[in-house]
Amino acid sequence: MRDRDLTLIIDLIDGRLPPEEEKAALAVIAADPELRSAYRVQAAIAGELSATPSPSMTPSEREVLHAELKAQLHLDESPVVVPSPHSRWNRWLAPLAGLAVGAAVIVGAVVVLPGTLSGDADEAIVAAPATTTTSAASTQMADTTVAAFEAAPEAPVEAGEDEQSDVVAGGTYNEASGIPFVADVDLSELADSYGAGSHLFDESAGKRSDGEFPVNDALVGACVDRVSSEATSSTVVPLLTTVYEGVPSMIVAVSPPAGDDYLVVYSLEACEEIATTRP
Amino acid sequence: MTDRVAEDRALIRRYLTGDVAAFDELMRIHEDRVFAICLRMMTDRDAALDATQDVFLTVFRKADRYKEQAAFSTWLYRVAMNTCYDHLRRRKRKRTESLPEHFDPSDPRGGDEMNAVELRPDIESALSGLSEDFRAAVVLVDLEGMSLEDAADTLDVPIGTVKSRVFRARKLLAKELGNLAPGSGHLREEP
Repeated sequence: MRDRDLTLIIDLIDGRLPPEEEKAALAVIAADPELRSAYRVQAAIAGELSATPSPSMTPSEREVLHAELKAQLHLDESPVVVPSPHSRWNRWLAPLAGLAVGAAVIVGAVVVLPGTLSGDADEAIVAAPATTTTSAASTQMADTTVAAFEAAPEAPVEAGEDEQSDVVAGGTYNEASGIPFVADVDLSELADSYGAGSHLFDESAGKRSDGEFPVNDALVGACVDRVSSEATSSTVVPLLTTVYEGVPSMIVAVSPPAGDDYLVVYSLEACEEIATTRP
Repeated sequence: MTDRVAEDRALIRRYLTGDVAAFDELMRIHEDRVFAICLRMMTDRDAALDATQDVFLTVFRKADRYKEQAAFSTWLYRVAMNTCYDHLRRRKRKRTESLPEHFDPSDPRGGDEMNAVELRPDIESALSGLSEDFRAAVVLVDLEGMSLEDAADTLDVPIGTVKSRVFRARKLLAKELGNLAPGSGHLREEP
């Protein structure tokens, strides 16, 4: 069958033809057994499918869906953030802010309080000066990563007591980091998804608890800090952590001042670039 | 601009200023259609609910990226289709990884089709045999009653491609339904 005939039949069934053209089309179809047969099949299937009632959710399914969405979008807790002109990155800036805080707390704890890590609880609580360091570091980092940083109020802007305790006691894990871990990542597929703005990955796969998190969160914070401080004109946003070709890694999206965004994989141990989709 | 398009845009703007009622309203207007598309693409109710949730998560998280040149619904259904494709690919991978040694793909007792209750079983089965692209085209045009133009926008392909996919998909469905139901002569092609 020719494309012209196919289009004629589809347009006729879809009701797209004006009355005169419709008459003419019907005459053409009636005169040709092959077209007649094709038209009948097409009309029968279209009729059969369009007569099928549209499915809908049950009230309980609807209720669960709404509750899940509101919880994940934090709609029950606080108002949605008004996006800045750079809001494309907002989704990723909350984890970034958390990581900045985490990294700074670690730096603060090590630099300001040498010797306290092995001390008793009373000594460890003296971590208060780290809070000051944290705020300063966060501010500095915000300068390197677009002013939209401030559009992520759900991220902590000051280290709370819990975070200090975690860092001082454990030294490796900071719960302020909300960056997900995804076990299996295909870099080019991720880049395609990211570029197309489609669903990036199954966020339910993100593991955030201390016991399950398979990469060292302190290294993530330090690497994000370093990469961001070295990026003078580009915006760098951490997307996820993973084990890339056997190496615990972090994948960041880089938005240069000109040209397309691209992804870079950094090894966490050395914080070195090991793969990229940079054009 | 239609009222619906203008209303959706206003709701999105309200949502972006933190108006939770706008979220509820957008959900009320669009959730059933998104669910219907997902169910017909995934052919499994639980999978469709998961996909529906992911669609709205993506849309609301990226609401600030919505460009008002297009209707919100077009963008929403495009996200829905992309999400369903993603889920189907993931499911295919999982199935491939976990196929039993003596799996018979023609065994109708296997797979998620057992959970599909929304369409006539023969149509459901025939639909699930189509390629994702063909299925998407008939789901939007025939089952969801979308215009060919809107379906082309949603699928991000030329309208001619949609016509061709719909035509070929219907032909395959007719063949499949004819095979499945020998008595249903109304779907048979003339000799």
